[in-house]
Amino acid sequence: MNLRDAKTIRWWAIIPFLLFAYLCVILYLNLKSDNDPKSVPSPFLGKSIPTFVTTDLLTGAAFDSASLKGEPYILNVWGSWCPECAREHPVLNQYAATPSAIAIIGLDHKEVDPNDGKVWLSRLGNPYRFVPVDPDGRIGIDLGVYGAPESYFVDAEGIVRYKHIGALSLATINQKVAELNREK
Amino acid sequence: MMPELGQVCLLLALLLAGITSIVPMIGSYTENRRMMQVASFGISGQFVFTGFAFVLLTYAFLVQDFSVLNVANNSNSELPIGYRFSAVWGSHEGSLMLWAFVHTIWGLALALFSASLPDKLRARVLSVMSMIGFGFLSFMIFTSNPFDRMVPPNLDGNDLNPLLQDFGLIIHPPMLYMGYVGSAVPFAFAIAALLENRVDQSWVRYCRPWTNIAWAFLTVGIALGSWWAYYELGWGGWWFWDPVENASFLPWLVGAALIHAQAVTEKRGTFRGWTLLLSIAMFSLSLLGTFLVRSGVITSVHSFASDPERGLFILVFLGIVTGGALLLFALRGSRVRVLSSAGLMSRETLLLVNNILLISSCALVMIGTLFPLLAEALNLGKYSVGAPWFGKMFALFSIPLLLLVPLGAFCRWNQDQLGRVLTQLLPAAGLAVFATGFTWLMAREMPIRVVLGLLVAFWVIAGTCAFLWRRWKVASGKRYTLEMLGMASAHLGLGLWLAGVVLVEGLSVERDVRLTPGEQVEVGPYTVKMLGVAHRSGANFEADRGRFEIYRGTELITELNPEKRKYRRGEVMTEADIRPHIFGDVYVALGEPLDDKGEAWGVRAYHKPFIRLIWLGALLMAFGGVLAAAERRLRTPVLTQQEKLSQDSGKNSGQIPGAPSGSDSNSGVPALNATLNSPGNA
Amino acid sequence: MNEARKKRIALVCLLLLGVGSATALALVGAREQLNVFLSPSDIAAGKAVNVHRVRLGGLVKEGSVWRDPSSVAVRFKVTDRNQCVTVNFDKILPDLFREGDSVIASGFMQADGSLKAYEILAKHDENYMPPEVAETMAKAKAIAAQAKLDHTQDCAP
Repeated sequence: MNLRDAKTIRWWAIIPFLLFAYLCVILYLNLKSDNDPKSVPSPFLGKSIPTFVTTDLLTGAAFDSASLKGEPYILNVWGSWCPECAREHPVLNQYAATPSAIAIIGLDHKEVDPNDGKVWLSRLGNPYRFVPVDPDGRIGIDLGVYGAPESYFVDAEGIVRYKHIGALSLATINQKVAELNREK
Repeated sequence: MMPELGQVCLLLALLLAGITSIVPMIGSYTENRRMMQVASFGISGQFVFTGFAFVLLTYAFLVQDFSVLNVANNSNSELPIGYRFSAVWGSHEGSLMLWAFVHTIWGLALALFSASLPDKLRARVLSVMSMIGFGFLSFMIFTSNPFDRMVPPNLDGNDLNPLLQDFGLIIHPPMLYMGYVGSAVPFAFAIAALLENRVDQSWVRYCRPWTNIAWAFLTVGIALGSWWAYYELGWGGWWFWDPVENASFLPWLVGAALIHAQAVTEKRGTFRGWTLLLSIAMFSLSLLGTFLVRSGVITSVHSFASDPERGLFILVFLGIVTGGALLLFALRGSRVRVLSSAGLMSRETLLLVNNILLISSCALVMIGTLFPLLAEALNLGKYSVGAPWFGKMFALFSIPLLLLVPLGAFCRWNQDQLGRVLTQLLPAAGLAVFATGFTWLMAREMPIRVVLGLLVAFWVIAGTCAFLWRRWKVASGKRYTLEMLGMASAHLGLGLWLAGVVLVEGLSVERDVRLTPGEQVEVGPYTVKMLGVAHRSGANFEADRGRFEIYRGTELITELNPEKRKYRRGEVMTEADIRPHIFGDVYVALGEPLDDKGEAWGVRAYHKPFIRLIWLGALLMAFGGVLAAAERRLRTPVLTQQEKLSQDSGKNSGQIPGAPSGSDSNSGVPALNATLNSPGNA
Repeated sequence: MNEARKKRIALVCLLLLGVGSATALALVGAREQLNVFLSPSDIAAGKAVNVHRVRLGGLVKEGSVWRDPSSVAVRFKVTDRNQCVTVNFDKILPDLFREGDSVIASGFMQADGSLKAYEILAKHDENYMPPEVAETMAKAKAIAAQAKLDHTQDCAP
């Protein structure tokens, strides 16, 4: 039947589309809230990052996170057990090689055997200025880490400006670092 | 080198998909036959290249090429060879590869079996299929490439998640994807119909077998998933109303409604706009399910490692596909009559109620699944909807639906009397009451809700048998068409499924106890006696293996050996052992050692009466779908002379199923005046 | 009023009635079935007063796990390093349940402030923590930091 022949009301036909559009909005909001710096579940956003004391994976020296105050940095949470971290790592290497790069601190999270971490870094490259260890995950818990890779963008006063969940892209790093520098 | 070849194949497939999306579509508007014929070539080419890429990925897993990131993340040198296959689709990237490959299989099937379709329709359908393929291939190539290399390569892999190292998971995803992706076919048909501005009997006649088969695959896929969860997860449950499970259930419900709506449209010419809408909905829900599982908005035991960027891609894809389709529907699809001229008591009405109930329960499951998201987006708090709510609400909608099932086959088209229909079903009702009473007498301790549930189940079964019986006695010539047999099989399956659900939910016995060697526990009619727990080593795990004897009274039935495995990768898995039986499974799983000597263990023992009926019922439903798809009449989309005549006469002579005409398709289609030759189409 | 009109009205009425009653039933049922996620600090602050079903998230307090010697019943405390809640559970614990690791207990609050759990979920992966628990922990830390409390102020096992 040629659909043009029938004469009927047409207004109800837009309803499915409207309902669907509403659904998309809800889903999008949910998706965004995972990444939106204003609504990321980190309760430390806009507040000082919790300090911690541990040792460095590669040098064995003591590491106090309070010593980082005075310059902006990226705190990257990783582990040799984490496949997405391997996917992200070349991006970090690439960023660290740029001349104006800020420091990246690599928190070795839940690493059962520190040797695994060392081997992983020697194979994939080391973009980190320091590699504090967090073998039992206690530091991660304090920070609100739920997995890896996760990264915190901290400004010179030690305030957390942005928390990124999942692998970083070069674009995101550049954008967020630019924001950090502007805050100064 | 091979993985790079795989990349090239994917890119070629993408290119072909792009070409096939555009050229035949243009050709259908400019009436250019050559351009339209590109469709077959393009679709076949997509199949070849995507298939080859799939083979190359499988090859990488088989030879354990750990330089490929995907293989490194999901396989291991100790992984047994069978699981290297399922590891191919065990990850997000791999499952997308499977999705894309299955999509090209359906495309190829369409191209091969659509010779009787008019050129324009065919070109547009294949073009829409290619558009979908293009979207998915882009998603895969640009955000989730399975052929990404790992530099420098790993010496060994991370191993496949032990939860996935299982036979069930070798076949569950392919079956499920055949169903999910198969719903793209009626979707493509719907879009083509909307573009052409014509929805007629031959269009839906062509659509029906594809829809039935896709739905049958989906049924099998879901049933396999349920069965797998039952024996693998160690909790004895067969359905958890988990968001990912719900995501597969939504297209199934819509598919069931669609099958019935298509039947009405094909035979009576009504429900056309509704059938179009359902075709769009079924595939959209498949896509929505894909989004939910991969984007991270819903945390579930099932979901893949989430990535909001990927989630955004799928959401945009979903928005374009479904949004576009619904906009098209708003612009074109509304020009159809809303109500048919059928009477209040008629087969049309019954099937309308069927659709309303199915769609309502679908909406219900969707709301329950998405409510936590809504609450979070509106900052109302972190809520979750518990399984009991789903169960209760779903039962609320299912009971009326099931009560009406036997009536459909006995009710005439267009106008009938309730009294007449019910009179014919009186013997079936009596049989159902008798069977229920008998069962209750055998097991007095059954709770009342089990008895009532069984009554409904017996009613569905008896009513379907009554139909078969009546056809046998009254029809001359061809007694049963494949379509009727398909319906009977599916409805019988439904009854069995309900019986299984009601019995297992109402009568199962679960005991979590502390046992030492020599001690025993009673579960239903069985006694589970613990002998001890010993250590054993497996291919890629270490295990504690329990030995339990199962008695019925004093008779030893069998010995069960549940295990607690610790995989090299780190995970701990509970491998339950089950003694399967149609009347009830005995299910034993190890908890954990409760003392330092490792002698006392926490043990889970279950008796699950008639749980196998659930999956048996599902298989019968799927079988019914396949039977109905094979119906001969549906393979001749062009109207026969007889049908044209009855159409012109405009008579509304609905046929009683038992009447001696022998065929159910003579159903005079009043408001439908389409043949393929009418002019003035877009 | 002609037949078609009557039928249309009947159908619409039926639909409205159906949708209305279904919605009503759904909402009534939902209130009982909705689980709201709370942390031990939330419960200590009184947020569980009118709530029926609770999902409690946090870590298993080290040293707090007590097992009944004659059955599989177990009692333990859930902490967010700020406050604790006692949980009772009489079935077998999930495989990944460990002291010091994250856990989500679903159940009913009892009069004495403990939770009678019907379901215990331990994170299903060695290295990932459910987001709700991670947030809970971080929030509690933030509360402690604001009150200038010592980090080790936690409940006794």
